[in-house]
Parts: sequence; C-alpha cells; structure tokens
Amino acid sequence: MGRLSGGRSWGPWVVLAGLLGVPFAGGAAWWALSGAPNPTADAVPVAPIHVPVDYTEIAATTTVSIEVNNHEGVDVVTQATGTVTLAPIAGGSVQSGDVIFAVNDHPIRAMVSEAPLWRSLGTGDTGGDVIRLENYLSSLGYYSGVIDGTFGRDLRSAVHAFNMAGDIDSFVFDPASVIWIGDSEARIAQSLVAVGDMVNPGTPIARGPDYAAGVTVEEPPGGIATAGDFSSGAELVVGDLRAPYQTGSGVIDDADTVQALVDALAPATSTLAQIQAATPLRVAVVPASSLVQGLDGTVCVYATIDSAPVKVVPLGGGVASSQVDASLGLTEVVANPGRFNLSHPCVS
Amino acid sequence: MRANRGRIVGTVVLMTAAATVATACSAGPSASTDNSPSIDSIAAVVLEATAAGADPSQIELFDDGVITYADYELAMNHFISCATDSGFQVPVTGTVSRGGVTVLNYTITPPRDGDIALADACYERYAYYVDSFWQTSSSDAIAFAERRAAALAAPLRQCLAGYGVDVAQDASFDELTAAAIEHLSVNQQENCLSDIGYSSWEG
Repeated sequence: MGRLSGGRSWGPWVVLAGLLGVPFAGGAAWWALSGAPNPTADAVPVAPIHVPVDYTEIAATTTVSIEVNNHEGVDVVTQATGTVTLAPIAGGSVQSGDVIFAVNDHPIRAMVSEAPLWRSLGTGDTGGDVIRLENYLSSLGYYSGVIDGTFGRDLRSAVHAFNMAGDIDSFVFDPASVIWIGDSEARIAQSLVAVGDMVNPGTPIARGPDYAAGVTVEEPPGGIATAGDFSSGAELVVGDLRAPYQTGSGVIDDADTVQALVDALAPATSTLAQIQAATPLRVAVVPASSLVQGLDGTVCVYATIDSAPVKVVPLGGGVASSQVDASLGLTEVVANPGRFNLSHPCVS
Repeated sequence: MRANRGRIVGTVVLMTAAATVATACSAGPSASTDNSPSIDSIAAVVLEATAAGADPSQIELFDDGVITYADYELAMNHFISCATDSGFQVPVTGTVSRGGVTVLNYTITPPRDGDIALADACYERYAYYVDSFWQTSSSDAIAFAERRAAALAAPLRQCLAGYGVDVAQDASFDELTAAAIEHLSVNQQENCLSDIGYSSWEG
C-alpha cells in the first residue's frame, strides 16, 4: 500500500519508452535489410529490348460543330413605273413568261435568264442583251429566228407580238415589261406590294424564299491548327460527304457545297462534324516507353543504349505508342531505355 | 427593173471597192476619227440588203454613203404605204428620240384576219436596212453613243466602286457597262446603270 502511495511509479516511463523505441527499432531493421543483397532482383538481368519501328499514315482530325446559315430570300425588283394593278401572289412557283404582277394594267412577265435586260432594245441594236432577249422570246414561242445578238426584222416582229400581248403597240422592247427572276424558275414567298401601290425602277415587289447562304464551322479555341497538321488542306466530313474547307475561315460558302451539306444534314440544320487533313501524313510508330525526355525537355529515342540519341517530336499517339516523323528513317528502337544509364544523354 | 438591177450591182461593186480602200487606209495612223459610218459597214449593209431582196429604193439611199433623217423618213413612208396598201392601219403619232436619233412613233393594226407577216415583209423590203442603220450606225447615233460614254463613264465607275466592284483603271465604257450588268445579275438592287440614268440620258 505504501508503495502505491509513497513510492515512485515506473509504468508511464515504460509505456513511453515502448512508443518511442518500437518505431526506431523498426526503422533500423528496415535500413539493415534494405542494404542486404536481393537475390530475386539479382536473379533477373535487365537487357535492352529492341523493337522494330512500324510506319503508318495518319490524317489530322478534329471535331467541329457546323450550322447552316439561312439568308433572307432574294428580292425581285421591277423596272416599271406606275400603279400596281395586280399584286404578286405569294406561295407559287414562277416560270419564265408567267405574269408576276401588273403596272397600269400592263402585265409584267417573269424572265428567266443568266442576266437581266437593262436597256430598251430596238432595230439594229446588238449585244449580249439582245441574245438574252432572243432566247427569252424564243422560249415563249414569239421568236423563231437565229440567235445572233442582232435586233433584226424577225426579232422586231417577235417583240411587237410580245408587246401586243401586253396591250402595248410598239416595236421596241422595254425592259420594264419583264422582271428578271434569275437563271431558273423561282418561288415567291412574300409579296412586297399591294394593288394601288406606286412602284418605280428599283422597287422590290416580291421576295423569294429563305435560302442557305453558307455553313458556319466553329473551330476549336486557338484554331484547327492546334489539332494537327492541316497544311496540306482540310476537308469537312459529314457522313459520306467530304467538302473542301479553308482552315481558319469558319465558313463554307460555295453554293454547290453548301447545297450538298444542306442535303446531307436535312432535316437538321446543325451537327457535329469532322475536319480532316486532306492529305494523310506518313509517320513512324514507336513504343511510348521508348521516348526519353532530357532535362531540357528534348525528347529522344535510341537505336541502341550505346548509340547517340535521335531527337524526335511526338506527332500523336496514345498510351502505348507514339507517332514521330517518318523521315528520320528509324528501323528499330530501344523500348526500355529508362532502365539504363545511357552513355549519351538526351539533350538538344 | 433591169436598169435597177444593173445599178444595184454597180453600187455593190463600188461599195466593195471603197471598202477595200477604206480598210487599207484605216490601218494607218491617219485613220479617220470622226463619227461618220465606215464605208465598209455601209457596203456590208448594201450587200446584205441586196441579197435579201430589198427594194432598190431602199438600197439607193445608201448611195451617198450616209443615212440622214430624210432618208430614214422616206424609207419608212415607203414601208407604211406598202402596209397600208395591204390593209394595215399604220398611224404615225409623231416622232420620238431614241438613242440620239429621231424615229417615227407609229402603231400598226392588221386588217381582220390579216397576217402581220405581210407588214413585216413590207418593212424588210422598204425600210429595215435604212431603219437599222439610222438607229445604230448613223453619224448621229454614233456621236450620241460617244457623248453618252464620255458623260457617264466617270459616274458609272464611281457607282461601281461604291458597290465594291473592282474595274481596271483603263476600263472602257463598254467594259464598265459589262461590269455593271454582271453586278446587277448578283444583286438586283444595286443597279448602277439605273443609278446613273443610262436609259434616260438625253445628251
């Protein structure tokens, strides 16, 4: 009892010594053992692994979003002056010779041609516009003479007959008696004038339907060049359709290409697509483990562990392999250079 | 009739010879720069009219190498008389200016069940070649076209530039006009020829 109350207790000191001593003893044991020879490791000699280099072709590819840009329909412009007595009708298809509207009770007919008529034409006149007039009146059955670009007697008769159909007794062709709608039949989506309106040369009287004016290509931040080598040109790939694309432009506006893209997307007007380099690039494929990065960031491969390093620039690849310039002519590389003290370090 | 044919042939031979001389002369630096129609263009018209069977009264009007308004009016009156004799009504309501030359303003109404081709035949026989030459190749017509080109070239060039159309610095008026038409084909609301008043320019 006296020991308990009056004597000194050693219990806490023993516990403290245990707590401090055991880790120390463990560390000392680990240190002692780690310095001992490892028979397992010593039993497996490390040898350089040489692997052949494969070659393949790659095309830089990146994903972009594209969207069709609809443009407001084209306005049809009259050259006539007067009061509208018959308004254009929206929704219909207009062919060459159709009466689109009337001014001062004279019908204004649609004209399909590669270019509009711009001056009055009479006997003796010559030029491309005379050819267009000959073709126009020929298509309507008024003219059966030769298409020679000269306003001769046959065209004079044809113009008179055409004019008379519009209740105009004249041998001179007035361009205001027709309205040019382009080089093919057109549709009127909207009438811009009503009966009673006044029109003058240049007044839009009808509007065609909206049309696809282009396709916007949203490139990745920094541009497509960041996604690979597109210096040989690029193509936009949508399904089976491949359309030429000017990198950096952000748009495709060639009419035929736009229409092809619209057809490929229909009924959608936007999607994800691929931009692909037009010409594939030939590359050498090496194991990712064969790449050694020097202290200055230079990347090398080694044909042998004793050979000089071959500096490379990775062009792509994945977890297991990397693609490098094919022109280096590599045939074989060391797949495990990191296991050796290389005699020639990788530096620039 | 025989005498007329002989005269026609003589005229053609004379014109052809004159055309040859004119062509040779025009190759030199002293080629004429006035507004007179070239002799070879007249000779070509005479040849064509003769081949088409035009009436000698029409061909004779080319004999002096120029077509005047009096020549034009005479030819048109022959045509109108011919058409009237065929039953057409051809009232002349006056004259109008077209392309810098004065032309008759007339209408033509065929008789009941009449064939307009009869009037066309009258026109070709008596007036077509003179009418055509008067309106496009007479000295008045040529002078008008030159005045119009001189007056409208600068505003046309300026208009095209305003619409962003590039044209050569030394582009001719015809080239400027072609550029305007091409641009008009793309954008109907940018009509330089209308903007500069090409059709209404009276000189």
